[in-house]
Amino acid sequence: MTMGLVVIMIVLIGVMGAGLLTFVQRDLQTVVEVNKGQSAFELADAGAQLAKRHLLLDNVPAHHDIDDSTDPDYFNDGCNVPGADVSEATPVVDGDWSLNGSQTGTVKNVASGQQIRVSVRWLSTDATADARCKAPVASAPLGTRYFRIISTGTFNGATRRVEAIYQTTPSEFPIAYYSTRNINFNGGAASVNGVSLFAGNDVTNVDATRISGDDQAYGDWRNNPDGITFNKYNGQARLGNNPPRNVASSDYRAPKAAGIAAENQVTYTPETGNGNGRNGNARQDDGTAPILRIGKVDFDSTSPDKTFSANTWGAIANQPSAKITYPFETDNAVLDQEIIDTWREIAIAQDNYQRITNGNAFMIKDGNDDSDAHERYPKISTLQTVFFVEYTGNPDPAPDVTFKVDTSNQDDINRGIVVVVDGDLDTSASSDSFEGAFVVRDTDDTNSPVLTYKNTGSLNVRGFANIEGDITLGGSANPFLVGSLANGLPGLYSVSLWSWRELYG
Amino acid sequence: MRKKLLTGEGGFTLPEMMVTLMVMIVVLFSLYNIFDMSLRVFSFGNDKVEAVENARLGLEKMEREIRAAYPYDKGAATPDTHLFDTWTPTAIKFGNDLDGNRKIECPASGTPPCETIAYDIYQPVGSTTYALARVNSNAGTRQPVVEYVDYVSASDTGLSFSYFEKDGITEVLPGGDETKIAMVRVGFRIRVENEPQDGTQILTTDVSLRNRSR
Repeated sequence: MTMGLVVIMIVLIGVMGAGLLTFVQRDLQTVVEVNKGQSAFELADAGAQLAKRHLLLDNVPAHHDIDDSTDPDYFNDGCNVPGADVSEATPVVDGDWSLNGSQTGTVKNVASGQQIRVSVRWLSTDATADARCKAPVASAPLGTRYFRIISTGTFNGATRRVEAIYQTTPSEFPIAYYSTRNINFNGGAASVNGVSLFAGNDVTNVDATRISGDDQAYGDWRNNPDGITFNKYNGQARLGNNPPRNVASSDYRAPKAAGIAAENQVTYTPETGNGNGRNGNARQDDGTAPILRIGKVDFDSTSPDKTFSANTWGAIANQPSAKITYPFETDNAVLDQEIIDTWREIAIAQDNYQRITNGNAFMIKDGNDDSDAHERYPKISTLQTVFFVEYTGNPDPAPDVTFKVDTSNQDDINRGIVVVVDGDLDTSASSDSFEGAFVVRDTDDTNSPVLTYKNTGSLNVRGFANIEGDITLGGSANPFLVGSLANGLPGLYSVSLWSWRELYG
Repeated sequence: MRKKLLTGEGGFTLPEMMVTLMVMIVVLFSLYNIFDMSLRVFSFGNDKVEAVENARLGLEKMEREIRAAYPYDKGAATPDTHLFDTWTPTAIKFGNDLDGNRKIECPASGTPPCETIAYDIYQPVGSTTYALARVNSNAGTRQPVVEYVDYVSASDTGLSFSYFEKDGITEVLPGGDETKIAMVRVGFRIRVENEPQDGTQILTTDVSLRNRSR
């Protein structure tokens, strides 16, 4: 009897347990299926982020276009950037970033049964381009580019595909020589052509005979060089209607000339007795500040006088007619930090990043040097190259970072962006020319130590310098080639999402 | 020995048997109650799981579509970047770009397919219960997605939407600035019929709008 009761109990409990387990299992299976889809979606999303990171490093259209009729996705010429020798951007694995379909740009095998496949395709603003590679807007803002990303995530049989269109927009980074403090022309040895100089305090030792060309980036600081658009930050052009005082109209220079502006004073050397300022004869500043100087001819308007100052009036509509200000943004710390952080990421990705904890001096060496690879500037450098040196602990005195790169590309021009944080940058010893930008940043607001950028040798720089500290110039400063700037410097553009959608089927 | 078995006087007395039977009845009755309870629990649990499965699938579909809410015509000369035609605590209407032409259309003819999608709660014709409705046509025809929604009143339909800014904390109230909405919180309550008292299950999800949050 007891045995029978025990058997009945066991059977009943077994039935109860099985019943409970059945719908728990069903619920679990549903959750697993839903999670597979969710995981596949997250992988696809990660692929889109991977492509965005790639665009931060390289937004050159020719690297992501459809090259020619042999391309499996060839549409028409409107989808191709001309240039038979332009190479496509190469991802880590597989083909190139621009390929779609079965040869999609890059493939990441995350784990068994988990995969990401992603491609990046430049979208053309050409009106004749095929609809499949046409930009989403008929008229794109100046300098803005569009890229279509297709990312496929696979997780244990579940697949999700997303499409993202990203746009790259030029950042508001100053394309000029800009110092938050002083610019010293080092006894007049420096020459400046086609690029303006701006100082938060003084510009000293200017030899006006050594300033030439028109400002390629900012024109007359109000009307942009395209002759159509206007500067966003400065509402007053440098004078052009009336010839400057003491200058014959035959010697008059256009207001777009490369200029020098200081919030405090501009002083010249050597001083001469010629008072009319023609032909760029230097003369000592009269000491009243602030004074605006333009080009190689002294500018001192008669009526009305215009002075240079930082923006104290807010919106451009409130700008006094007698004041000219920086044609670029100078007090956006958030934007500036974003750009610096982007450059740091790019340098890390390119294996050009140095973080120095001991405060010792550092030399950026030639690409052929036998030293540690991390100390060498790339042998083949482009405008997308970023070399980043960062000191920890804000050492005082500031250690020197010397840029001494003799041999790089076949044309003997080093290219890229050199960034130094909490250290001085010295390019005096270099011999090869440089095309790009030099940037120095000070993480400490106390001005102790004051950081400096020195180019007192014969380095020919085609680009600009942006220094949180003092600049000492030697050598020659020239503007970017128009074509070089058109391709975009990494970090000088932001990457933002234009649209996102999930692809079904 | 056989004679001994047949002639033996040993055994259970009547009172002993009666007591035994009583005890057995009590034990078996208890066992039956346990069995019956387990059946009820199984039945209720099964119904609930099924209802939750359906609700979860419906919610996931809604989540995927809301997440991909697309600007109505961002590429136009005068860009139209709004995502929601309707955004109230109990209903929502938006669009998904299905054909890749970068805008939302819902032609009357059905070609290309209607790209506007709307969700709310309704009572299907001939039904005594309420269902989650999806509208994906120019004619506005409702299709039931999930049934047995726990409808209480017009203001508490069992389906709720809350709209938040990018920080996920600041709520955008109805009538506010639609362009600030970057996240939608969807709440869904279903009913599981059971005697003597029905059970309810609440599902909630936060949906980040991909065309706003980045």
